[in-house]
Amino acid sequence: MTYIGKSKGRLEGLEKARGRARYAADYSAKNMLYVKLLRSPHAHAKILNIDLSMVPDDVHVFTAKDLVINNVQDILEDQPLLAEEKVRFLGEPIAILAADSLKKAEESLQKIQVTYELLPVVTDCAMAMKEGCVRVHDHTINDVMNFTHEKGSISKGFAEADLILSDSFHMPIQDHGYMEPEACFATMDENNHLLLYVSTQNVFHDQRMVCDITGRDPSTVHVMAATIGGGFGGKDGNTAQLYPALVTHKTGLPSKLVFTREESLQCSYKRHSADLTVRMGLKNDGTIVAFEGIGFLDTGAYGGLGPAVLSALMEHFAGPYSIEHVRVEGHLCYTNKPVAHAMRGFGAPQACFGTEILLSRAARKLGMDQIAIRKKNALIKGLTAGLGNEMLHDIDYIGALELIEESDFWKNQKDNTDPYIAYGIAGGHQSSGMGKNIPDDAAVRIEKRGDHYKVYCGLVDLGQGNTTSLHAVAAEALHASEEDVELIMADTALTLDCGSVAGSRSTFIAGNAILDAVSALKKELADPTKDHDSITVTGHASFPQGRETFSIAGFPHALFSFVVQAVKLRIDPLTGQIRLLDIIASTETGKVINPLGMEGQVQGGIGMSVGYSLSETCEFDQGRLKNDSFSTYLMPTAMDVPPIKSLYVDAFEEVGPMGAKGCAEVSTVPMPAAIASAIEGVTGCQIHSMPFDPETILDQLMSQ
Amino acid sequence: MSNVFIAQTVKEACELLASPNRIACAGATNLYVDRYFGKMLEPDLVSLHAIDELKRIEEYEDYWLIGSMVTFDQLENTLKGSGALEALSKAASLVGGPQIRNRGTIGGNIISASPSADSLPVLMALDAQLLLQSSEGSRQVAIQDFMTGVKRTDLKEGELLTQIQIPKKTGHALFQKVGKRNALAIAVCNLCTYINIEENQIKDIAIAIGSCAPTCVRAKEVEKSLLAWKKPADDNEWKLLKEKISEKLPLDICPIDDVRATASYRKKVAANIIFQQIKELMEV
Repeated sequence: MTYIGKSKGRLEGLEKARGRARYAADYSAKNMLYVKLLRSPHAHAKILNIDLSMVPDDVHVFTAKDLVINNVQDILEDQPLLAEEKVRFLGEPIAILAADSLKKAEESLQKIQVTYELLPVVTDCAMAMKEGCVRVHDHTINDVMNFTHEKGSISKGFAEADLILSDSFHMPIQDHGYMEPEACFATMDENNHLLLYVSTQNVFHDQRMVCDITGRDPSTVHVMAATIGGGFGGKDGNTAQLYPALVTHKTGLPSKLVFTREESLQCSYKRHSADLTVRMGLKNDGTIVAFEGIGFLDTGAYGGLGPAVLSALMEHFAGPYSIEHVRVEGHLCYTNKPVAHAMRGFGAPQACFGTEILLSRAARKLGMDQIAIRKKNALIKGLTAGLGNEMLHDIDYIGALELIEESDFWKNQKDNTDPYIAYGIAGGHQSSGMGKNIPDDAAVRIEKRGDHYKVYCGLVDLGQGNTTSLHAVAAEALHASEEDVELIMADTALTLDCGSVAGSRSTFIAGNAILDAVSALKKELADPTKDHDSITVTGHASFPQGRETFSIAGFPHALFSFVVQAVKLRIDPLTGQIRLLDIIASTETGKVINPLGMEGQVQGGIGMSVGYSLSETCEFDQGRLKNDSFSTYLMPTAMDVPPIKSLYVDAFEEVGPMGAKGCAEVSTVPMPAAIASAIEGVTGCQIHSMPFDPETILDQLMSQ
Repeated sequence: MSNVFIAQTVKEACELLASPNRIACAGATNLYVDRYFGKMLEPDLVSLHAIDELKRIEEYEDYWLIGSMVTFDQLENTLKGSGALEALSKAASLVGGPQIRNRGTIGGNIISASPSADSLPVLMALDAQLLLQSSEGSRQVAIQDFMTGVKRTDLKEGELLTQIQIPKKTGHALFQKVGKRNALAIAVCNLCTYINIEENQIKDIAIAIGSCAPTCVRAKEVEKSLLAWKKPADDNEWKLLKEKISEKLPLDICPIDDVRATASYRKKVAANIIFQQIKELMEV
């Protein structure tokens, strides 16, 4: 292998470091209109009247009436682009304003008079689930989707158990916190086609949504991804792109919308908060014989991708373990909060948290080693996971556990004498791909001109480096020098639909499509009648699917990556604060294409979950976000994330491109449970909620 | 739209500030935030950035003189190993992040008068005096008497804070900041304890606490109760000292619940840190 398995920096790294990369907000044009959104100041209210008469004549205003279809394409199709009869979360857009200066657009917001009739605010799942609770959507109860499944018989399983543990947990709403807020620049090109530069995870979905609201033919809507400053799931849907698209469609003038940080925090997509109850039954030898997990996910005012997050919670709830009797139950609840949607991990971090904490507690109670208890129950190929779904592919969770077991990091814990220092460990897994019965395909075109190859791929590089990985796959398969391979990404006019950059799928699906295109190319080259200097081929790939089918689409998945993470931390006995000292991560994700890129994913995912564990929580008061700035919504700094050592299992996935599986999300999964377990080790207290509260820890320490 | 005047000397700055609707501008790190939220948009600014005489740290026999335009970065690096002033170096090192510490000044920290300002507990515990100058003359005021409320001081119209005078003391001081993360965090509680021990006994004690009242405050009741306290001989005596702190501290501070922490947490943490600092200082 020339390129695969070799560390390589980002192809676009220098452009970014030099400040030459162009993000959506960097685009502008003469006569450009600045777009602002009139957002609801109320979390739940009927709209009685919208009075636009005071808006100056030179300011453009658009409302629901100006849309051909007032709908955001999503699973439940329950969200209007612009609220018309009712607002369901604070910050929901009602009208679009466009003016020749930002100041004028902002000032004109005040000129729109909306009359509301306030409704009671549904604040959380517990309230949403109460009988007789006010409905967020008139046509359905707030428990908008639920699922239950039992494998074996948990009553039989718990009856056989020597030790039964159960507890309840709460996980907060996390924001993606990308450096670049949501942004889009729209203009008309020379053919009078609508051209958009978007901060997005899927240009083809953007194109479809734009066609819905404007009524345009897809051939007249050209969407390109600008350079993206982070997505993490938060830019996989309706963000800032549709509003300027409508403005430019209606006025013919270029326009731009960039969310403020406050808008991004208050109004944009979030991670689902979760209320979990987990029960686990074990034999004295550490075998888990029964598991029950019940979860409530707060999806906010609209479904978004909530149903798929619910199915991922259900699928991952019992962990990467083979357990004979498993029951899972999940509810997706509407509340009057911003829409919870996709966020890196997509239900798997929520699934992991309570399960891994209980497993660590069980090991302590049974006097077992933390790694031994996980190895004893580990899933392997051919066994069935929590939903009775068979593991169809090679998996090496045990290998990931053994890498930690053999590390100096783990061995050194026996030398620790500081009573305030403890080690915690947790394992986890994460599916890749969209899941059963959801379209999950990609098509990639390769143009050979002499010795030069252009690879056209419809996926977006969100900043995670999939362009660099796919470039390595293409160069390797083509036996070409790196300079002779050029990647063209995410352009509806030039590339083919590859679906969304989501579900840890992009390197896998586009990599396989590239390999398919290369075999087609080789066939052409084998044909002496063809012109070998100018060949264009298209390759296709589909994600492998799980065998079983359930009542909700989207699961089970066929492929999973596995991870084990351990942390060494110290609790400050004066303040109860948690200081992370060292972290080690071990990942099984098939063959690693770019070890440097992989390490970046591991560090980034852990950093994200360190924030989730220690400080990040969107705090709402009657639907209003209390911490809507980065001085109150606290993400970890370089001073808060300790050194992270990243190990990976030498593995090979038969159906993966060059042996690879998806690795983008799995790194976020277990760290909260590992930290919780270490805190429980120091204090003897039981952790029930995140982020971990220093006052609770301090009270526990002071009572000892 | 406000104008910016650039003063070259203290005298010039004072003359510029004598006209109405003008404020002095030091590192501008707070000003940017204020202006983002629509405040401080009207007044003209008198920038002090070119006045070199305000950027000096000078050591005299009995005191230190610190110019109001001395940055946190300068404080951190210059005052390392300077006896009790080491605590000011420590406090400066924990302000914001590197960019803020390169721009932000001690004078700005004092005049902004945030209850959570990181330099204030040290300046209060060490009895700093402030020199205020104007086109009319000058006056000296104890920092204790200068802070009047949340973001309010005794600064008069046209006055400029030019120097901070800190008396040299024989004892030692410690500073600690508790924030919700390790950098770029506003203090949940910040605290400086100064102690002078003679003949195994507390001869002089000063404790100043930030983020636990509308201004940074001295813990007078705790100080009074610990004066002349003998160095504890065993765990039991340490326990008594700790109980005394917990008993008296509620008389000195009145923290509130906010988005960062609860009042009860601030109280517990302040008591723990005072005890720990006294213990460390007594065991020197």
